[in-house]
Amino acid sequence: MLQYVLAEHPFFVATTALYTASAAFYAAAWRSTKAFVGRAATALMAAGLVLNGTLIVQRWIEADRAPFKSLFESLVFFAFCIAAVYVFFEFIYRTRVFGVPAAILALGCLAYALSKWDAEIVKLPPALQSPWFVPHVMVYFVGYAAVTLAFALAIIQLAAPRVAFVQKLLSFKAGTIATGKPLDVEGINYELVRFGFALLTIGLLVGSVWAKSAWGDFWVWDPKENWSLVTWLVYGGYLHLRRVRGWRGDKGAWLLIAGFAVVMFTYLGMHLLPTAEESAHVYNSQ
Amino acid sequence: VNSKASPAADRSPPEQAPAPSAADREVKQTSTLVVGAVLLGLVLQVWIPPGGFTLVAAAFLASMVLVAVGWLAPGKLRSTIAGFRFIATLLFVLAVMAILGTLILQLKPATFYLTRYGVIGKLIVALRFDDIFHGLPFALLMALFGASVIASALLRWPVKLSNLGFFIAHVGLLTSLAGAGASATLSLRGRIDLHAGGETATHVLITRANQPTGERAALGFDLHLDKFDLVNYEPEFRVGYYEQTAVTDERGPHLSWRLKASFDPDTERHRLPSGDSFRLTGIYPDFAPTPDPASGTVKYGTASQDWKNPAVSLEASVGGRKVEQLLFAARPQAVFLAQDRALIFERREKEVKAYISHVTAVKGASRTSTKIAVNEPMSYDGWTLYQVNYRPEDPTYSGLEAVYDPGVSWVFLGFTLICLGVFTMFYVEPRLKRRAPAAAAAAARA
Repeated sequence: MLQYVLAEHPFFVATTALYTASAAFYAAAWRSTKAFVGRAATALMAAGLVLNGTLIVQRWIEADRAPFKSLFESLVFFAFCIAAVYVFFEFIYRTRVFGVPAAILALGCLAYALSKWDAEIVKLPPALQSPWFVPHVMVYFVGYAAVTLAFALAIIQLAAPRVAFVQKLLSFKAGTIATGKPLDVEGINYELVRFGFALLTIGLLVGSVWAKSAWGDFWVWDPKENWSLVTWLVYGGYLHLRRVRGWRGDKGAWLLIAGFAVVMFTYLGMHLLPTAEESAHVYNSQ
Repeated sequence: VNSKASPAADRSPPEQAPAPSAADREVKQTSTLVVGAVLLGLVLQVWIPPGGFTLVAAAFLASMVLVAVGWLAPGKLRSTIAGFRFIATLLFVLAVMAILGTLILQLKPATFYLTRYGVIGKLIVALRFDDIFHGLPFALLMALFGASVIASALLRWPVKLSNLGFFIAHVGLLTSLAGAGASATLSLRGRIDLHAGGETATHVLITRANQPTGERAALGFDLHLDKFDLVNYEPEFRVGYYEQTAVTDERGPHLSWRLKASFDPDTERHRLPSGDSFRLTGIYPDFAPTPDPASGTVKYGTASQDWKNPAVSLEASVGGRKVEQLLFAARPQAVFLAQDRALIFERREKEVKAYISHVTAVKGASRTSTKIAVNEPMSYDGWTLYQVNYRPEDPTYSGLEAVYDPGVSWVFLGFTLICLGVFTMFYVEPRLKRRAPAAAAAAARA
C-alpha cells in the first residue's frame, strides 16, 4: 500500500513527511535554546499546510466537486484545518509549545485517511449538490479543529501540575515562547473553545437551512443532527460552567476531553448507532 | 498552570463567588427542577400522549408559569433559573435526551420495540421513549430552558452595549423556539405523486414521520407535471484493481472481491497496492481489428474516438514476470495477478446526477411554470414543493413533498440572531469592555 501511495500520490506522502518533520522540530524546540529550531518547525508546519491545501485543491479539480464527500477526503481536510488553526493560534499567542500535539493530530488524521483510502472518487448525489455543502463542511471542520486542539491543551493543562517536564514546557524557553511570558493554558483553551463554539453554531444552523432546502424540514432528529446538537450543548455547557466557581481548573479540562469524545463520536461513530440505517449522514466507507 | 488570563482571553471574572449556602441552594433548586421536570413529565405522559401539540403547549405553558413564579415568589428561584449553573445542567440533561433519541429508534410501531428489545421494549413503550422529542419530559425540560433564557435576558434589561451580544443571542434562541413551535403545531407535510402528462394534483396526502396518515389537504391550486428529467452522470471507463478479502455479512463469513484502486485509462505505468504494476499499451475507444496481410496477424485499432466498444491492451508486471492481455469493457474479463488479485477494464454504471420535475401551477387565471429539483424547491401559494422521489423503472413518475410551514421564517430569523449574538458576545463585547476602563482612565487623567 505504501509503495502505491508513494508512486501514485506523492503529495500525500510529502505532506505527511512535512508534518512529521515539523513535529520533530517542535519537539526539539522544547529543549533547544536556538531560535532557528523553532522557526524551522513553524516553516515546516506552514509548508505541510500549503501542501495539504494543494492536495485538497488537486482532488477538487480531479473530482470536479468539493472533496468532502468520503471519510478519506474529510480526514485530509481535517488535517488541513488542524494545522491551519494551530498556525493561526501560534501566530496570535507567539508560542510553539503546542506544535508537537498539533502536528501529531494532523498526522493522525492522515494516517487514518491512509487506512480509509478511497478506491475511487465517488460522484456527488443530488442532495449534496447544494451551495450550502461547502460552507457547512468547512465551518464545521474548522470548528472541530479548534476543539480538537482544545482537547490536546486540556491534557497539557491536566498534566502540568502533575508532570514536572510539562510544567517546565509552559515556562519561558528561547525559540519556543516568543513573548517570554508564562503561558495561560486555560485561557488559550477558552479562546479555542469560544472560536470553535461560534463555528459549531454557524455550522449547525447552516446545516438546518440546507436540510430545509433539500428535504423541506430544518430538523428531522437524524442521529448526526442529534449528535451535532449534543456537541453544541456540551460546549455550550462548558462555556456557561466556566463562569461558575471551581470550573476553570481540572474539572473544565475534563469537560473538554469529554467534549472531544463527543465530537469524535459525531464524526466517526455514527455507523455504530442502531439508528444509523435511517441516517443520511453516515460515511459509506465506514 | 498559571491562572492569569492571557491577553486575548476573556478577562471577566467568574460569576461572583456565592457563599457556600447560596451555592448549595442553587444546586438543590437546580436538581429539584430538572429531576422534577423529567419525573413529572413521565407521570403525566400516562394520560397525555406525545405529539407536536403536546410538546409546544406544555413547553410554552410551563415556561410561562416558571417565569411568573420566579418573579413573584419570594426566595432566589429567579436568580437560580437565570444562573449559569442551572442552564449548564439543563444543557447536559438535554444532551442526554438527544443521545437517548439516537440509541432508540423513534416513531416505530409498539410491536417493533417488543420484538427487537424484548422486556426493555415494553419499558420503552411504557415510558413513551419511542417518541422522546415530542414527549412531556422533553417538553418540560424545554420549558425550563425557555424560562432560563427569558429570565437571564430579563436580568440584563435594559440592554447595554456591553451585554448586547448576550441579549441578541438569547432573543434569537427564543425566536427560533417560537418558530419551531409554530412549525410543530401548524405545519402540514405530505406527498404528491405525479406522472408526466398525466393527472393534475389538487391535494396533498398528509404524512407523519414519512408514513401516510390517510388525511388529505387541499393545495389551493392545480399542479401539473409537464416533464420529468432523470439526468445521469456520463458513463466512465476505468481500470479497476480488485483483491479478494474475507468478509462477514448476512451470508456468513466468505471471500469477496473488493475494489482497492481505480485508474483512468492512460498509458502511464501505475503502481498497485500489492506492489505489482501495470500499464496500458493500447487504448481503443471503439475497438476495430484490422488484418495485417503482410504479417498475417490482426492489428488492433479504433474505428472512432467515441466510447462505443472500448478495449485496452494491458501489460501487467507481476514479480518480474510480464502478462499482456486485451480487455473489453463490455465483456467480463480480468488479468489475474495472483489467485486473489485481478485487474479489470470496466464501465462504471450510470449514476443519478439530478432528477428534475417541470411543473405548472394553475390558480384561477394565473399560470406559473417552473422546475423543481433536489435543493431547488418551488414556493407557491404558501406551499413549498420539494423533489424527493423518482422510479428508475418508471421514467414519467415524480415524487414531490409539499410542506406548509408558517414557522420557518421565524426559525431562520432566530438562527441569524443567534449567529449575530454569539459573534458580538465573543468578539465585540470583550473589546468594548477593554476599551471602557481605558477611556475612563484617560478621562480621569484629563
